[in-house]
Formats: sequence, structure tokens, C-alpha cells
Amino acid sequence: MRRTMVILFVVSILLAACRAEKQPGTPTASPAAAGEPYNVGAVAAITGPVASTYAPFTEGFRLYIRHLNARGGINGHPVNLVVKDSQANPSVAGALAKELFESNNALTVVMLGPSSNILPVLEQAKPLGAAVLSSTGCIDQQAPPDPDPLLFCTPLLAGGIGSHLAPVVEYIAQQGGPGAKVFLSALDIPASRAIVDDATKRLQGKGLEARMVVVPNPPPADLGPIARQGIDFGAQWGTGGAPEEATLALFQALLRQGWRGTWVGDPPLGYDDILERFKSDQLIISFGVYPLAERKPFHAELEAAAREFGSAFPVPRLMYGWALGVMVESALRQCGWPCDRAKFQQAMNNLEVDYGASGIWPAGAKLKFTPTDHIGQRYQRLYKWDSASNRIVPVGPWYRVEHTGKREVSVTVVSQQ
Amino acid sequence: MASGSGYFYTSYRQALAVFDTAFKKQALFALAIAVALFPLVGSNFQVHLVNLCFIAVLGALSQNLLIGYAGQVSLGFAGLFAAGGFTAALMVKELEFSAFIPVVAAASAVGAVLGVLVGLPSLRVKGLYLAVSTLALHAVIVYGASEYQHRLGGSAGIVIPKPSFGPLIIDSDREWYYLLGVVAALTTLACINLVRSRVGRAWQAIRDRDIVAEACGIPLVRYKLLAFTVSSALAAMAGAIDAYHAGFVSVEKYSFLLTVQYLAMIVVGGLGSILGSLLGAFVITLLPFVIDFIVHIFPTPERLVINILQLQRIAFGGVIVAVFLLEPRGLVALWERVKSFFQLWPFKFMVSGLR
Amino acid sequence: MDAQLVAQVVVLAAFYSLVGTGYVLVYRASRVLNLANGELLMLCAYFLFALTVLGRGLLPLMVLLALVLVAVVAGVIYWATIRPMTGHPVFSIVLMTVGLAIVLRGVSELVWTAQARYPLEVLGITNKTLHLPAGAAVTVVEAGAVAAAVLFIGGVIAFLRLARIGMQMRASAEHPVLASQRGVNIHLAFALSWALAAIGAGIAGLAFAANVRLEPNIAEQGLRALAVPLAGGLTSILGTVIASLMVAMSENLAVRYADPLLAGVVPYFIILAFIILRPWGLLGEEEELERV
Repeated sequence: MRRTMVILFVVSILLAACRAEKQPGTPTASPAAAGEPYNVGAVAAITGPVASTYAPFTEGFRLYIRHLNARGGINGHPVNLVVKDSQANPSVAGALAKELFESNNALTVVMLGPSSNILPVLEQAKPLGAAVLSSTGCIDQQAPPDPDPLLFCTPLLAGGIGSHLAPVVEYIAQQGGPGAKVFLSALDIPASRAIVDDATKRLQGKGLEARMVVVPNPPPADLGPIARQGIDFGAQWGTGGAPEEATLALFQALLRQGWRGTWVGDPPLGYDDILERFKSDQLIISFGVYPLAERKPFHAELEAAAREFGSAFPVPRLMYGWALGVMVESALRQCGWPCDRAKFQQAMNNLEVDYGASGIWPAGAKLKFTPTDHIGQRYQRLYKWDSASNRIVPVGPWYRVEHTGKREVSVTVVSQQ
Repeated sequence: MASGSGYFYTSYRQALAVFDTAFKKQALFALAIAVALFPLVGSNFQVHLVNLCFIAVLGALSQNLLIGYAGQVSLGFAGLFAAGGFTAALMVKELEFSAFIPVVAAASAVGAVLGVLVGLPSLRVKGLYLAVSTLALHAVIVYGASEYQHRLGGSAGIVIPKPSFGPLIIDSDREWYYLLGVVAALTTLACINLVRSRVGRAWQAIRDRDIVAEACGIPLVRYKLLAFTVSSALAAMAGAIDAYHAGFVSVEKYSFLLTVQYLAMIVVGGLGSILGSLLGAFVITLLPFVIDFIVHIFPTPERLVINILQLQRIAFGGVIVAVFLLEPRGLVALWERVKSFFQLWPFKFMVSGLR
Repeated sequence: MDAQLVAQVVVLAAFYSLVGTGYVLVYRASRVLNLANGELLMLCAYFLFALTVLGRGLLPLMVLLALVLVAVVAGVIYWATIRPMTGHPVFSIVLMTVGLAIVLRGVSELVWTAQARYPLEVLGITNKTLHLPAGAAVTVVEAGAVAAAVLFIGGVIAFLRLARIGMQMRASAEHPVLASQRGVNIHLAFALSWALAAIGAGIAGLAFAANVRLEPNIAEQGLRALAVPLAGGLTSILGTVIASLMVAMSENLAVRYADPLLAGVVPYFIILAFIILRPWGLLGEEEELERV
């Protein structure tokens, strides 16, 4: 009996195997777009140690592509987005990227995961001359004046070494003044360590006492002992340049031990629901896009799409992924049809995305990539919860941050919106 | 093993040969032809999959030698695999030396040394405690590798260049296929001979009843440590080859789950059997891709397609549980049953006493 | 050595001893390390999260239901997968529990996704910080976890010693053949051991989820606690409690004064030390050692 069952099972699998070709990849197309698809691959850390940051990010991106396809795609060509789960494991990310390039014929692979996953994906893309869009902290290979031709740092969620925490550093230095104590957390991945190390040095350069701690990767669930280090240090300010499992979790651990300081969160924490959850005047967050509370045009579009296609995550968490979708659409439009890997890389090299148009960024704000700058601009604004009016209010103006060199940045105040 | 044929050896040479019957020789020849010609008909991706299976075979053989033949329990595979990968990484990064064969040999040597270390608890404890001590050693080795990677090698991992033999650089799936195929075949042959030799027999005696084995004059210390040494050297060799194949070494890959995968290979395939190691390696390596395949040809809700990794994990765990519940002796036992069915037909069983 | 360090050690030790007792109970019954203990921990917390749909204000009921559910799951696991494997080598059974762990984790990720959840928030309860004398600060949940650990472990020890079923469980664990010949339903006793173990792990899981966050990765906390029963003795609950204080202390000291990265390996060093010096732990029963 047992034997029969096993044989039947094996035979049915073999029959299934005989019947089909091997083109995996669910086209996210609908009847509206019926032309040949653009193949885009994505390697995302949907589960695993940093899933809280990248799962909703990926969802927002997918939502945008579905929304795009439902409106007819790009001149009738749908975008076939295939997403694979890397669990933030670099080796798996590399293997999946290889699969996406070979089996799915991807034009480009978007890497939605921690910076430790950038190099393995790039290794797979190099022999094919395909562009890699990395959605994590930007590393030196993307900064001016000589970025890797294939590697691009998609914006909003994170910036580069020097640019990611620039507005936060400015704010803390202004508010705290010389002698203030700042505690910074990084995750043990390349970009995070470098970004936080750079920020620590800048704060020290301004006369503040800054101490950095590196959270092991994968981040332990209980950050109590590490938080203790911050309390013993006497920190009045805290910040970090890492996924929320190493920053927000640390803030929570500090609170649990009765900390009275202020945490200034970096853009990976830029979600309305986080401010709403804490409702605390100890938390200020730097947003990389307009928060949902500001009711910009793109928020309405995003909400409508989330309602139409359904989403497992709250709407604010989808914002960054949506903005990534806008960038990918711009790049594909610029590439035209037919598009191949070389043409796509060319399109990315000269890309201009008008984020100000739909209210993702302040009006008139554009993102520009050039052959010498694959990081582009970042716009950040600090927001906090105001208990008097019971809503999220801005703290200060928009800042534009861009790279003038590998680690040199310029920070400009954008006129009030 | 049931055999309904009247096949008799007519010379000592024939009795000692690995491939003793004419049928086995012919089957081997046909298999070799099929394996050699496969890259010409298979797609790039399929060849890549078989490459992964070849690497898995090396690891599965190492585990089966230790656990299936020598009867020692070890949960430290990932640590030794990591040792191989990181030896390669260290040599590439620190010594700027990346010639394939010497690096792999060095990795095996490192694995052998670590194997002695991992094997030392086996002289003192058995069973569960031995398993846990090997797990602890795995954690320590991985910690060491992690420290190296983050302090010296670069947090992003270490890139390993493609192996080259003189003017020939191995960088396509097909070229890897032949290299890995040869390595896997030679290793399998070596293991077949090893288990048929005095060493293999000693291991099996230790596995079955170690007190009696000692009473029969088999020095336990020597053979237990030898089992750990050989198995660890092979595991490290597999790790180094895998590092070259992936082109990249990073500590996150060497998790306890990796150990579980290789243990599943030998359990699903069959403990104490070379064929079992091969079968198990292929089945476990290909399982996620089979799931991927199934999900895409049947109409599946989108949510499941996105979470295909979870489906693959569930299938993997499910296979382990199912094997234990349904056929604990693995695929080899299943194969034996199929073979007996055909060999004994129209009889159902062989009366014992007749060979 | 300040009050906060002591408080953190006590909280962590409470957590470890709850999970460790789970390992001990299963080992005494089935002579096996249940490597799916972490997944049971996680599953209980997810059950609580799923039950929050019942509405606010029913927290005690939800906690009780979640614990009962996870106990039932453990009992079913024992009946369906461990009981048929009686007589198989220990290695196979342990590997089977690993397979189960993988399945449980995959199913949880599929049903609830990897998104971090905050069950207390859904219920509208805040986890206030209590300020203890001498400058220590713990949260309400942490204090509750310590109390729950004391009650649970004390209750289990009393149960095993005094209650009739408890004595039957001890008898089955010590000598199954003799116990069954005396009319004890050993499989029921073993299933109960597994269920109790799951309740211990479940309490730890609920505390963790309420205090930190709920996501599939918290199952790894179970593996982290493995050092505790190994150091304390796989057959002794009291040994586990003592060892949990030891391991919690070493970890906290390592993070404070050495490298946070080191803290993850410290339990394994402790395991190795014990295997070399005293494999059966502090208070475990001495088992036959093969000296070669």
C-alpha cells in the first residue's frame, strides 16, 4: 500500500515534468497590456533577518508594476517582474540572480536587500553587461567620480556613505551642541558600517561625543545588552544607519530600560505607522519621501492600487517601493523597444526621474544619474508626532543631499513647501 | 540481497573487482556516455543544476562515510564546508594565490586537521552528546570565519576568481560540468574502494558494535579519528570547490540549515550506501527546483508563488519527515525492493538458505 | 556589577529556564533533543496573535487558549511522528524533529508572513517600564515572565513529584517497559511530557513576542537556549535553572565587556567545556561513558 502510494506519487511528478517547457515566471500582466514583456528580475530579502524593511518595499514595487501593467504597460508592453526570495543570504542572492538572468532572461536585476548582497549579484551581472539596481545603502562603487558602470543605487530608502545620515547629523549637531553624547548603531554589513562610521566621525568633528556600536548580523532579537551600552555611555541622542532590526529595535530596547533621550531615525524608518505607534516625543524620523500624512497625489494613487490589488502591508510601508517602480518605469521608457541589457544600462546611465511631479519629493525635485554619479540626489525631511494636534508634523525644512566625491557631500536647504 | 540468477565468480580477480558482472560494466559504460553527452542536449540551466548536484555528491559522500559507515554522529558539516571555503578565500585574499588544485588540496588538509579536532569528543562521548559537541564546534568555526570575514576580508564577502589550468579558464556551466563530473566520479570511485577496504570494514564493525570491534582487535581511537579526518577533508574539499564554483565566499551561507540539507541527503538516499549518497544528493539538490516547476505549471495563487521559498522549505522538511515515517532506510531500500521485484519475478520472495 | 545587570540576567535566565525545561521534559520522556522547541515557542506566540481577533480585554483567555493550542500541537506531533519512531536510533529522531521544525517555520511564514507583529499593540496594551530600586529598569512583561517562570517550573516540579499522573510520567521516563507492565499508559505519559514542554516554551514565546516583537525568526531563540539543559543536565530541571543563570550571566558579561558578536558563541563554548569535563551536566544523571 505504502509502496503503491510512493510509486504513484513519483509517476505523477514525472508525468508533470514531461508535459511542459521550463519558462518560470508569473507575468504580472493583464489583458490591457498584450505586447511582448520587458523582463525585470528582483532578488529580495522578503523573509529572513531584515524582512521588516524589504518585504513591504518589495510589495510596494510589485504593486507599482501591477498598476503599470493594468494601465497598459509601457506602450503596450507589460513588465514581467519576477521576484525571488534571498533571505538576505549573499550566496543565495547570487544564485538567484544567475537564475533570473539565465532562465528568465532578465534585462536587469533589482537587488532589494542588505548591502552584503550587492557584490554576489553584481558578479553574475558583469559577464552579461547587465545593470544592477541596488536598493540599500550606497557603497563607494556607486559614488562619483568613477562608479562601476553596472551598479546603480536606487534612491529614497538609503543614501551613500556621507549622504545617508547627513541631515540627521546636521540636526543633532545643531540641537545637541558640542559635548552632547550621541549613540549610533550599525548593522554588521558593509554599507551600514561605513555609513555609521562616517557619521560618527563627522559628529566628533563637530565637537560632539559620538560612540558607535555594531549589531551582529543577523541581528539578535534581544538588543537589551547593547542598549545597556548606550545607557551607560549616557547618550542623549541616538541614531543609526541600518535596517530597523538594528535601529528601531535598539530604540525600543533603550525605552524598555527607561532611556530619556531622543532617537533620530534614518530613512529606512520613514513610515507613518512607526511614528503613530510610538506617539512619542522621543522619536524623530528622517523621511526620504513625503509621509502619507501630507496627502500628496502619489499617496492617493498608491492607496487606490493597494485597494485594488490587495496588500499584506500598511500603505505607508509601500511608499519607497512605489517610488522604485517609478524609476524602473522611467528607465524602461527611456530604453524604448526593443530593449536589451546594453541599452538599458545606457538608459540608467543618463536617467532623470521627476519625483517632484507626483509629490514623492518637493515640487521640482528630480533625480539624475550620470555616467559619473550612480547615487544621485537624496531629499530628506525630519518628522515627528505632535500630540497636541494628534498628527505627524515636519521638523524643519527639506534637505537636498548630493555627492561631490566619494565621501564628500553637499547639503542644501530646499525652500519651504 | 535477493538474486534469482545463477551467476558465479570464476576467478579471484573477478570476485574482487568493483564492477564484477558484465552487465555492470556495460551499464557503467552507458552511464558514462550519457553523462558525457548530457551537456550537448541540456540547456545551460539544466547543466548548472547537475553541477550543483555534483558538488552535493562530494558532501553527501563525506557525511555518509562518517555517519553511515563509521556510525559516528556529526552535526558539524557546515563548519567543515566553511573551513574549505574560507581556506580558499584566505589564500586568494591574503596570499594572492588562486591556483585551483593546490588551493583545494590545502583546504582538504585544513579540513583533515579540523576533523581531528571535531573527532576528539567521539573518543569520550557517543550519541546525543557527540552530536551536540560537533554542533558546538561548528558554531566556533563559523564564528572564527565570521570574525575573519568582517575584520580582514571585507564584510561583503570575498570574491574567488575562476579556476584556470594553464590557458584553460573554467567559466561556463559546461566547462564546470566536465570538471565537476570528473571530480565527483573519481571521489565516488575512491569512496567505493575505501568502504570495501580494511578501513571500511573496520568502520562498519565500529558502527555495528564497537565494543566487540575492539575485542576483535580494531583500534578504536585510530579508526574513529580516521573516519572524522577523511570525512572532514572531503567536506572541506567540497567547500573549496563550491567556493570556486560560486565565485564568492560569505559566512551567512554556512548555517545549520546547510548541515541539515546534507544530513537529509544521506538519510533520504540511504545510510551506509554509496549509491544512497548519490541518489540523496541529486534528490535534495533538485527538490527546490521541482517545487518551482510544479508551482509554475499548475495554477497557483499568487501569494504562494511569491512565497515559493516557504513552499520549498516545507517540502524539504516534509521529505525528511516522510522518509523517516515511510521508508527509514531511504531510497536505496526502495531501489532494492524494485530490483528484487524484477529479479525474483514471478516469485515474491526468496526462500532463505539459498543464495 | 550593578542592579541593571542583575535584572537583565534574571530576566534572560527566566526565559532560558522556561525553554530549557522544555528540552528536559522531552529528553526525560523520549531520550531525544527536541530541536523543534524554538518553533513551538514561535507558534504559541503566533497563536496568540491570531487570537487577538477575539477583541480586546480578553488577554488572559487568549494566553490560556494559545498555550492549550500549542500543547495540543506538541501532543499531536508526538503521537504522529515520534511515537512511530520508537526504537529508531536517537540521531534519526533528532533529525526528524529538525524536519518538523523546518515544516513548522515554513508554514508560519506562509500564513503570517515575515512581517514583524506587535500583539500587545493590537490589544492596545502598553508595556510599561518599571523602575526598580538601585536604578534597574524592567518592563511589565519581563517581570511577568520571571513570575511565570517561577510558577511554571515550581508547578512542574511539584506536579511530577506529587500528582499521580506526574509520578506516572516519571516512571515511564525512567523505565518504560516496567511502567507499562504496571499498567501505566506510557504513550499518554509521553504525550503529556511533550505538551508540558510546549507550554514552557510557549510561555517564553509569549513573553518574547510581547516584550520585543513577533516574527518567524524568534524560533532561533530556542536553539540559543540549548546550552542550558546541556550544561545543567538533560534530566534535571533544577540543573537547568542553575545553568540558565550561569549562561545568562556569561552572555551579558560578554556583551558588556567584550564583543557583542562574541555573545552568540559563548553558549557553545560552555557546551564544549561541559562535554569535555562533565558531559552529563551539573545535575544530570551520570551516564555510561565510553573511555577509549
